[in-house]
Amino acid sequence: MLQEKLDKILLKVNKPSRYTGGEVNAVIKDKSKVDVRYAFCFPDTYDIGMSHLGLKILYSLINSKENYWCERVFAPWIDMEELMRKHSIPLYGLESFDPIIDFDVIGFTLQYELSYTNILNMLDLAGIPVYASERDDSHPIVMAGGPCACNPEPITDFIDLIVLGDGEEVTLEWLALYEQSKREGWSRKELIKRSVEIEGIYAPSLYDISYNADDTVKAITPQGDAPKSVKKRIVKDLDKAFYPEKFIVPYAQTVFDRATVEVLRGCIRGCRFCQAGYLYRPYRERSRGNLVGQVKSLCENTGYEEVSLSSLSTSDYGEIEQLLSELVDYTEEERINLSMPSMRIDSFSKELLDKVKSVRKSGLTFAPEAGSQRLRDVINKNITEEEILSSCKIAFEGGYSSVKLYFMLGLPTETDEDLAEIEVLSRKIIDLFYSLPRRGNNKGIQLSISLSTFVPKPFTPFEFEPQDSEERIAEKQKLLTNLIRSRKISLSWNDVKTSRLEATLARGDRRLNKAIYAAWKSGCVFDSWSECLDTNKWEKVFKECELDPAFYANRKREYNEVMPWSHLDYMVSREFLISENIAAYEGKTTLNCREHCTNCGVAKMQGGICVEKR
Amino acid sequence: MKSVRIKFSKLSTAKYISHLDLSRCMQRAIKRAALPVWYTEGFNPHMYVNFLSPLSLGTESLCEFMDIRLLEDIEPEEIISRLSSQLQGGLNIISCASPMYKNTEIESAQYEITVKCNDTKELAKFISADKLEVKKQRKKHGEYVIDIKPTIIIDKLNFDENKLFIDINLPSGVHESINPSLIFEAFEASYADKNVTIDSMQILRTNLFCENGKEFR
Repeated sequence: MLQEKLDKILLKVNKPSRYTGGEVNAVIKDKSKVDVRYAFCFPDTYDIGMSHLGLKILYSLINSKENYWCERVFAPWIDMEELMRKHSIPLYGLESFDPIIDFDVIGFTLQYELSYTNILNMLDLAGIPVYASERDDSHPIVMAGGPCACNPEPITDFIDLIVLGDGEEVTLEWLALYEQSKREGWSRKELIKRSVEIEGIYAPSLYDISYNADDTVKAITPQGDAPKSVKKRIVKDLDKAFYPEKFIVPYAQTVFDRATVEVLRGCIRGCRFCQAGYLYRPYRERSRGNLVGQVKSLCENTGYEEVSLSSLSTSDYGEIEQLLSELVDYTEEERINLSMPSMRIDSFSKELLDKVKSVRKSGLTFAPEAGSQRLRDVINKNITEEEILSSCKIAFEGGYSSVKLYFMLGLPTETDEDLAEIEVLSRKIIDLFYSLPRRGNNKGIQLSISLSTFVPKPFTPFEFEPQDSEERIAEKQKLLTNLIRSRKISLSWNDVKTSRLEATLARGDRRLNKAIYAAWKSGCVFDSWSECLDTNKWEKVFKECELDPAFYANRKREYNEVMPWSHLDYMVSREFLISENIAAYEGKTTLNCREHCTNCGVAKMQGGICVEKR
Repeated sequence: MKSVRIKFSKLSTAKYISHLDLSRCMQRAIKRAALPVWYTEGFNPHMYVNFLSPLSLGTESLCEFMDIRLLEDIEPEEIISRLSSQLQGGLNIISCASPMYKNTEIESAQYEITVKCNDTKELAKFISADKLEVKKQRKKHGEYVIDIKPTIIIDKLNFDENKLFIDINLPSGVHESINPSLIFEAFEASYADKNVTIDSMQILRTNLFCENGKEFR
């Protein structure tokens, strides 16, 4: 019996309650009364995956249908996986403990490129053939969705169907089709063929890719009736979209363990490096009344001590101050912490700060991304130094003494002068702190500067750009270390080899499938964990597969190059991305969606801010 | 303001919930039950929930205690029913009353242990011997060996070919505390070269006792 087997091994692994389920609000159904069993697989550990809002939404959505049962599956940590393989325990759903190979559908979420090897590992642990072509009618259908679905080409050999865009509507539409296929006894091939009739569903096996002599993509040709391009789905009216009233409350400590409401979807800003801002267009808000109701029902059903207002840029919410006023009344009475991540520097005000006073004064985070105004204009991050300093002033006067600033290294047109501005800005912030009357405590300022490496992503104006070489990034990190000497500033950066691998996979084509397979086979898993990533193994794999990572990461693309994702349509036009890229090189900024429509192409979808009066 | 002591059981898969996790879990259950509990004052106010006598991960228990302070007078039956409806999966409220003894008065714990072993006869011999030496760790003094025979009471011991059952009282107070797993670790260590192994072990803490021999409550 599985329970007995698990009892033997659970005390030998780290944080065993990640593998036992039974949490409050987990959905248990009678499997004999269920027509479709869905395994939602998050390709990382329980502690990471349980924070994923998409999982919470789709889990509740699918379970809201009486005859569907959605269960959660996470990647077992290395110690647990070893014991599972040793004792022949296949990957199981956390609700039923049934092996997921017996389920109807397996759905993976593609959150970040470095989780790809985990997908293969989980399929293997489940006993499901890793290659889609080797699965037969007895195996579950393997689907995937999420942000990386915009360029899933490096893993198309392993996934049957991919969902582009918002999942709330298309998931139920497809599951209804699946029910029909089961009733009428369709073959797997037939189901895949019929699935692409639903807008937003991409079946990679129905496309042939040809390459030019210089290894760029020549053509992406659909077979039979498969659409030439697959359009993403959006939920036009977020207020009408499904949102859970309950969240599962984990026993184990997980990241971001709190109630979360999605304030808005999309972003108006158009920062040229930010893929999410383009993928999730158009900008759509949830109404204030709806949000307050969701906060209350989530807090009552979970007992969480913190609630987070989540989105790409929460301070852009139209009625942000009214929303906060209403919420603070409730959260203060119920002794719940209100957390507001993603605050833009230019919408930061004393009023806003006063409202979220209940947040523990652990510090504020801003993301200028570039040190000089010139470079900020290039990336269209429309924030002035004056705004940065005045926001810091408000924060310091409000009692905050700790500020974290995010910057990127390797942005297009970046020069050493731009980098030097990071140090100049830091010094100005420190001087500002000490110029203000001290508020009674003797705490000095703590300024943290985080430098990440820029990764060019598909569907952004910078999808044509090369990533800076590892050597150049290392030089730049050294430059800043030498420039920033103050003990009041702590400098940190992420590992450049990790960013390089991310850049390779982000704009990869189908030829990378064999590299990902080989990497997994040679033992690569949990690549997004610094203690697990083995870049030597990856280097070896690329050599053996005769693939050059520099071709994907460090090569400048021409405006007319056929990208591996050209057949996937996120409604932001190629012409717009090109014109934004040109504007970047000219140092010209673009207005945000609220100020003026800049005709990116998404208005065709007739939703959100595109159809609002501005 | 009234101090209330809640007794609950921790069984089945709940045994894998660590002490810290249990604390968070109960706080959230109390919040969902909308019980008017007292929060600590000061810079970082939090719900006052005091857990007594921590349990090792993997051990089941019929005698877990947590103390809270209620701001309003509520009947014990109502507290039990409101809190019970917010708990599941091996956590069950047993009773609710005013605290009788102080936490520091807990002296010993009663355990029922079922062990699957390939030589139960030797294990029984080991436990029943005149001397029962186990290895303990101390922060400052490192590892040391102690004979726990004088401080333990074996209330029941029986075994068959595969299984051994023992009902044992072990010291479990602020001064001295013996974790039952130490006995079996010592057994395995001394029989390591004789190919005797413990296959599995189920430990259930059934009761806590005070110095005067009274049941803790």
